[in-house]
Amino acid sequence: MPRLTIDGQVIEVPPGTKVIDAAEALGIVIPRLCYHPALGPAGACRLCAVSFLDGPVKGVLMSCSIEARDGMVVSTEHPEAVSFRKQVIEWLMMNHPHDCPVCDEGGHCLLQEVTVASGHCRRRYPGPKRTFVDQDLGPFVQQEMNRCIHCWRCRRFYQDYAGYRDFGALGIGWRTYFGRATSGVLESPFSGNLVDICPTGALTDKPSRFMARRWDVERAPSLCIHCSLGCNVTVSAHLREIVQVEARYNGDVNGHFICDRGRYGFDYANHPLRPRSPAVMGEETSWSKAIAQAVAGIEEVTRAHGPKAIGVVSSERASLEAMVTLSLLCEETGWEGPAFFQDEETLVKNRLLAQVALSHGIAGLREVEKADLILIVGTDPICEAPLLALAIRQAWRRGAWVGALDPRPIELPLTFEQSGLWDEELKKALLKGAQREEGLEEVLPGWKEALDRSREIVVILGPTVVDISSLRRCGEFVSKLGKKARIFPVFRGPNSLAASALSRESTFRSLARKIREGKIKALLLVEADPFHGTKMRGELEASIRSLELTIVIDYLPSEVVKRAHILIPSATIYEGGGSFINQEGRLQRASPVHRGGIPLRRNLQGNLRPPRTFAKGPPGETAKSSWQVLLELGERIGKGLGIEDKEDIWKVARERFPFLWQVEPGGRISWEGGGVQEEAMEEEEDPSQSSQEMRVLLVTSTFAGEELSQYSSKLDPVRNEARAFFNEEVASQRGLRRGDRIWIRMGDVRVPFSVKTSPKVPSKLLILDPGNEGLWREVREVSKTIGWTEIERA
Amino acid sequence: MSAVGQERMIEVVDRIPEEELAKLDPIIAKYAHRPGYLIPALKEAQEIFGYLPQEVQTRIAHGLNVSPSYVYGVVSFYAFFTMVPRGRHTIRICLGTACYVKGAPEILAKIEQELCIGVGGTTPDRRFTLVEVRCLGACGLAPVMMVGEDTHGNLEPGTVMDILDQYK
Ligand code: SF4
Ligand code: SF4
Ligand code: FES
Ligand code: FES
Repeated sequence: MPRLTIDGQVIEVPPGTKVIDAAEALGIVIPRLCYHPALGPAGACRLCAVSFLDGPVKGVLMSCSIEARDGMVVSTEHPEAVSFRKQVIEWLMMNHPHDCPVCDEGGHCLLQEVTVASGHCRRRYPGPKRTFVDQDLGPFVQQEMNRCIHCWRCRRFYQDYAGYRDFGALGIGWRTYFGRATSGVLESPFSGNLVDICPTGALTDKPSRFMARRWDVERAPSLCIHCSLGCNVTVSAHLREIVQVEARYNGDVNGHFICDRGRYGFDYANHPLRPRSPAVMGEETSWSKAIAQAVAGIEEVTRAHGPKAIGVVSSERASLEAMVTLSLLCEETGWEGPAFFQDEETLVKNRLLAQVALSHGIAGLREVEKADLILIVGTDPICEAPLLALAIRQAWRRGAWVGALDPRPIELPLTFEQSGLWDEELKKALLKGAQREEGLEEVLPGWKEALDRSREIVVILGPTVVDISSLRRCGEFVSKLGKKARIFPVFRGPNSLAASALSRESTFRSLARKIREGKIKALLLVEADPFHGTKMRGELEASIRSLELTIVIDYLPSEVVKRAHILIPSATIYEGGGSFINQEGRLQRASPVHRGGIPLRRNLQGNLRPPRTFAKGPPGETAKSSWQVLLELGERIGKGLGIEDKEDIWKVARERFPFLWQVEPGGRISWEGGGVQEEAMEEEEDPSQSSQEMRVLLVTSTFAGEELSQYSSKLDPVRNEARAFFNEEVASQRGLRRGDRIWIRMGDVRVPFSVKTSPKVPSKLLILDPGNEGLWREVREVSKTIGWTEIERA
Repeated sequence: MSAVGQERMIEVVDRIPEEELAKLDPIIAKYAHRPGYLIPALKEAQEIFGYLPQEVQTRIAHGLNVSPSYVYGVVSFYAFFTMVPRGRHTIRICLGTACYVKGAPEILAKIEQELCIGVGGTTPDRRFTLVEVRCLGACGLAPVMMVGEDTHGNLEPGTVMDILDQYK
């Protein structure tokens, strides 16, 4: 290990470490603009110059590009190096606008910082500056090319790291322009990272443009809960409004980056229709009245029908605190539930997936990056866990082989093999794979060769499109691959793993059955909207309508909120914080960011428009975290849990659910899965075998379909329309071409779709992505199969 | 210093009729789906059109299966490629050190004034395009300019236009 001296301090670093990083390990931060740990050195800005006084190299050299070697003596403060850096700044500022007060980066700008640090304050060169014409890069990234200092970070991230090609470096020399061939929306779902990595105001965040300076916002470390990866983020709030989400570095989870769904999905918290005040039968009322009504209702139902007549529903997006409180409350009261999943099948699949993954060695994003063979089964990374696609790409860049078994036409920013298998065929392929190591070669050419030279394998597995037996098959298949293989599970929600661990037998479907049988008379819904993504809207509406009492605790303006008898608003993760367990079983905690309340919106002149109501606290601030509401309810019905605050919940949970809580935040839980009843599910017979009909597979896309981000107006401009994916041949036999508009009849409504075709889609399958249409808002029942008579041209 | 100013990355050029664009098809057929042959393809395209407008670039991008931004990046990188029509003769006036001290600025001023164009400009009759270069390697003859492939040295403001008159 090389030993070197930096500013008189000796340090030993692993071979390959750059001098700039070695210095940082000592706490010496060498100024830099182009170097970025995830992107590596570019040697473009010349700002990291230091003096090498002795050792293998000598002179003023770039510390970002030189590897630490034995015997180096480095000075970061040598007058020669200091004056060199000073000149670099002066050159950079020659063309840079001197107008930080009107630049949105001002206050958190790396260039501003190093310029001030260098002492440069007077422009000596009197000539004109280089100027560019800006482009419109879409709704997320604001470009101001005059501020560019040519560090190449954006190009290196966008093309090399993320693998998208529509944005890049154009031109040469001082005219180099970072943009697209023509104005247009950036194609990458990771485009927001440009904002984070650009060290100047050349690329800034468009949605929060000119809203607040960095020192004016309330900021706190938080988590992204828009998928199961649990990326770490920093959230900024200003005037009671969430204004920006940025990536927060966590080397174990997301690294430096996040996806655009996570970055711009926050706006549900500012939604104009967000429930802000408790309401009884749609009438706003005071906090105490709503609680009193809820208590009275619960007591009445209990008196008349017993505690089992109260069903409790929550979901995969509830925080661990809420889940634990709810589980304890149900135990204490004897209520039915809590149900975290839609139906038995989903519950079993989630448990099974957790069990299979945990027993085979669970993998997270880091393991994916290090793998040399990646097999994707039943997952569309870009749609279901966007940042996973970037991790796969990093592995691929290092030479990993990537294959996918999924009926959807998956798109990834890399070259990979895909076989559009589904159902029986998929089962058969996995069986073959489980029997013989090279069994997958038939469907994925190149598999065997890749397998032979592989040392670390990751199988990415999701529960949405594969059925229970395929999931189990996958487990066998991975055991066959041996020790070097791990499973990377992709769940649907941010807290699915905890939900499957805490679930009893109840699911929403089983509660609904009991509602129909008249056994359940009241429903308590905690941060759950059974209407979201439902295929059985009609049935659902009928069950909800037949209830005597519906209590909803939520922060979304969801459909079930509109139908609540008693509505109690709850706090989002931004006001209440919370703990979540991500897909690899990592327990993570989010801090509250601000107090909340109805945002003070500005008008176009920049004037604030406070809501004209007068109260002691900020208007709309009554929301409490759902677990607080639950504790209060419990207390009032005489079933207090003896819990006061979060610390208490954690303490109790540590005793009661040790498998979830015996780690410090940031660590991985020790649950081993389990509780999967083998006999739970009888396989459904395949209705399309005999008929002309196509089976329907409902899927979601990156920016449409995820529950929270659905309510974020920031994502509206990039949401896709409803799409129907057909097998290419089948479609052309029917005279349908890519881009055609069709109607599909479902029950008594006709839903518009745009046709997509791909040879990967199995011929007996029709894949429907409701996009921004939200199919379930109108369709009473989404058919399991669809025939050609139900499809017509628009 | 006339090169400073609004650096337009996207030139709005006249639309090219479809039948003109079709001339690209043999080139595209030759290099279809071979992104590595982008530069020869662009070179041949420039031989046909004399320059590489946006539509030509887009068509080549689709033909070779690369993104339009990538093609644009290459075109804007190499001085050899141009996105605006050039004149029949390119005047390369040397502003290198030797030429500069021997009076190149006066020569340049004279040409600019007579042709009514600045550096980088093209005369409306597409006869001349004027560009500046740094040192043509003929400092002994300073001040020097090239017109097309011909080098002319020892220029004087009074006679430089006579030289240009030879090029029609
Ligand atoms: S736009 Fe920003 S990130 Fe890109 S080269 Fe310029 S300064 Fe660097
Ligand atoms: S990948 Fe998932 S957790 Fe990460 S930022 Fe995107 S939606 Fe959020
Ligand atoms: S950080 Fe080393 S050259 Fe830019
Ligand atoms: S300086 Fe003009 S030819 Fe060398």
